[in-house]
Amino acid sequence: MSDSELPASVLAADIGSTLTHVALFARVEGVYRFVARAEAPTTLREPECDVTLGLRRAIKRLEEIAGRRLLNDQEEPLTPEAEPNAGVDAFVATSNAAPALQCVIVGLTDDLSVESAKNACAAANVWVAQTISLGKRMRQWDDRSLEQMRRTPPDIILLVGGMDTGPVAPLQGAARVLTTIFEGLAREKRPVIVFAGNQEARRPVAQLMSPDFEVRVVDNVRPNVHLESLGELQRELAEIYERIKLASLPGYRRLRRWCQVPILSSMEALSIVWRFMARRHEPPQSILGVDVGGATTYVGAARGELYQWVVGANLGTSFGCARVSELSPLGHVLRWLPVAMPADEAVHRLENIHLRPHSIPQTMEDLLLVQAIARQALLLTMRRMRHQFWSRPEIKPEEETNLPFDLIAARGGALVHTPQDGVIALTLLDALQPVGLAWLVLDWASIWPQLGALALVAPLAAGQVLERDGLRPLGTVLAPRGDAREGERALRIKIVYPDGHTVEDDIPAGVVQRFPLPPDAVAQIEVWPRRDWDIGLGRQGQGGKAEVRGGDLGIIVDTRGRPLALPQDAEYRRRKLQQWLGDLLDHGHRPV
Amino acid sequence: MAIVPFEPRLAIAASIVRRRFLPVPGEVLVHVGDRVAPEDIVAQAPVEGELYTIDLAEALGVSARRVERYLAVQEGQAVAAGTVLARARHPWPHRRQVVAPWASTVLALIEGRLFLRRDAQIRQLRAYLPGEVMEEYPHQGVAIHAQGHVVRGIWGSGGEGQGILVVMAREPGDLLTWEQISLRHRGMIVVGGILEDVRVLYRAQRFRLGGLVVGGMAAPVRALCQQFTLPVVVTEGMGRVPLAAPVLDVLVSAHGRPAVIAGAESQSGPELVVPLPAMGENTAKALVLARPIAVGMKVRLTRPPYLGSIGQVVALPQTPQETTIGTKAEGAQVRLPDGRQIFVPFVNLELLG
Repeated sequence: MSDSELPASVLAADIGSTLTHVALFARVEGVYRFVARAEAPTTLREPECDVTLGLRRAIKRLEEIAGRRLLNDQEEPLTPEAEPNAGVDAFVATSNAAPALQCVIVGLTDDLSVESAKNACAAANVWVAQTISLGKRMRQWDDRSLEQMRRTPPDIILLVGGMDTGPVAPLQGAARVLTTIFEGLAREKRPVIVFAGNQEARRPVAQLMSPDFEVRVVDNVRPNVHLESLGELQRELAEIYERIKLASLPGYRRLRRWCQVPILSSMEALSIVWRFMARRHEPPQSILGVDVGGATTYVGAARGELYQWVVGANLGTSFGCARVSELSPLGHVLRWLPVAMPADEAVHRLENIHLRPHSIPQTMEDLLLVQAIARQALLLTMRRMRHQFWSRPEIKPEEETNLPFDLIAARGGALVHTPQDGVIALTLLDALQPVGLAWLVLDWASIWPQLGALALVAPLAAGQVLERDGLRPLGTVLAPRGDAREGERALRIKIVYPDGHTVEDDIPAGVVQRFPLPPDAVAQIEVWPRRDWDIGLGRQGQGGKAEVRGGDLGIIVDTRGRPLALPQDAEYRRRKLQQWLGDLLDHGHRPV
Repeated sequence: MAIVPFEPRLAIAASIVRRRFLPVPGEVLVHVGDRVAPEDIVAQAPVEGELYTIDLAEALGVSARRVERYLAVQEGQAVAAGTVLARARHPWPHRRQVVAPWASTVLALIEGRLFLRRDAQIRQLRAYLPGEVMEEYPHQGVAIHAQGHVVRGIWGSGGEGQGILVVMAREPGDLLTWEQISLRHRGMIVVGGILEDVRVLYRAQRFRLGGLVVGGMAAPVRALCQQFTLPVVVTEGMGRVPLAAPVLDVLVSAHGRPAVIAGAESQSGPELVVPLPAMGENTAKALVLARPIAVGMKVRLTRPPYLGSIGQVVALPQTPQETTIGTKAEGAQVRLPDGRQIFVPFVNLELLG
């Protein structure tokens, strides 16, 4: 694409379940830059029920901020750029506002194939509403679940089961049951059947069901006991989500008409950005990306060409807080609060957040409760990530730690709308429990999904904006893996600043300590851990040197050990949380 | 500054339209211009019966493969209640037979289990609102137009109901107690300040109240509500949140009048409507529509520490302002009843009236 064909300016939108973000990108002196952004509540539900209404409001706000006309007389994006300060050359959009795909998994037994199907669903915005195992002679098909499936049909039914050389008849039986359940129902109301079972049964099942259903056939998720094959099913689920759920967003057709390229799901757009971040360095970096949304939490890990991801469907900080509360005992949420809050008050606050998902905290207590929910949503999603990709059989699940990553890229309304960097950092440290050295960056402007969509139109522009304006570094985290009594020496650190001056300190176990290092600075550090601790620069107990980048919080040393074990005593735990938060907050706060 | 329109949560003497739709295509029984009462049936449709299965193999004591030979009906056959579906001729006294529990249609026999569907039943759609049929949607439903006060709920449970409005709360924060609910409230819609006692709900259900309206509700009561058919509307939020004073004032003025209530299962969402006699197009206010917030309007604050407070908008800053914890947001300067003036983000405000 020649320079003249490249868009001079791009308007990009990301329509989330709670907020719609718009951003303006433009070429300034030959380089693409981020110009301005704005946001407005997403208008997904009654009485407005059209996402383009909230989008227009966000764009109007952007017009005021950027001093540029962006909508035409019909209130549609003004394209192409007609004159200076009027219009843009392209409009692109992403969205994760659509609810998760409702899925029922139908399997032959309740073990391998069903578990693999659940693993595949965890990588897409899919909500497994029900799992039915046929078992012996379908005894588990109770009438109520059949009737419920008929009355409120799921979006998809995932039919799995059988090794590739196994019997075909049980799957045919399941297919007949499903055909019977939905008999007489209008075709457009019937679920899509995704068959990911015994390959031998593909033809008979498809023949039986195709006249009545849209049937999609993919690779068997469990071709044999030792092999799990999820890739094709995951791609199919992502495609169905975009085709069925995204396209059913109120106002989607109009939005699609405005866009120059297809509307991407926010998760797909984010994966483009995170993979780009991983590849932009030589040698490639490892990246852990996290997005804590209102309704969905998304975690992706990129290492070179390898990309692994998990979606916490219905886990979030507003619409998704109900699901977080359902999956976590209240104590698990409240353990992250540095202040005492009676259980019933916490329950009421959480319920009110769910009832008014667009509202924002106005007190520190409320803010900390939202951060507690964000931690729990991330923990639940990270647990799935570990279980699916990183778990090792020789380690007990509760003793597992996360893998080390060079870069942790975080985003989400609950984080970027928090004015105190220290609060954000502690949420990420507690929930992600990074190990070794990791640079912590934030999507401060909520533009990463838009940049993923921009990459489809102008990859160069997306890369330039991300490099120059897309990352706000919080700092480098040094978090050794190990266990020690509080107060015992954990490590000795020597920091050589760019101007040559040096700081040396002994850091005890059980603290979070900060050393200033501005965002654009690089420092040399040398670390000597205690014998049984691992800082990720070599073997356990071995010290090492590294170059670290700065951030608004500088260098953060977290010697609380991994996996993080919070004190059992509630009062003492709160004091410790206050202390850790205080250590991170002592630089004052940044207005958002 | 692009101000988001707000849907008023309280509308006084407003013009109301509620669209009523059948779940499946059917027959509309009223016409444009007809006057209807809440309990009048405006449309009806045959709704298919429930799917159910009978494990014939288990019932007959035979293997799944052998069930077919004992089957007394065929797929697609309509059967009356009591019809013999299958009969196994074991030696006496072990003869076994299975009969249809309801009038049904036989769908299929799969692996020894018989799938049946109950016969269709007529589903009737009531008018809900007393008023005039304004629009007719053939085979689908109608739009009813009425005038009255509307209180929108933030949460609801149960279906729809109607009855005489009885306001129990003297003050917005009065607790609704079980002793206040008695048999004489049968069929009435009771308004309380705060609901914390599950016994209130048990009594309300037992005495068949028309519905319950409260400002705030405790979490255990909420969980119980969802098990009952009684229509319940919460106007402010969960917890010890008082009923908004402007809402209470309106409801006190309507004490003793007939009202209608809708919980979660209603198409209109949780609300209480107090219908008023037709006032003519000139006197009734415009349709309840979303509108931008303006100086002088009454607002409800929806987030701690002000959750449930009522204030008046005194200024609309042109640029985002900082909240007490440092977050910058677009919002309004609001004067509270105690005279304090605070900045509240728009997303933490609801319009009252």
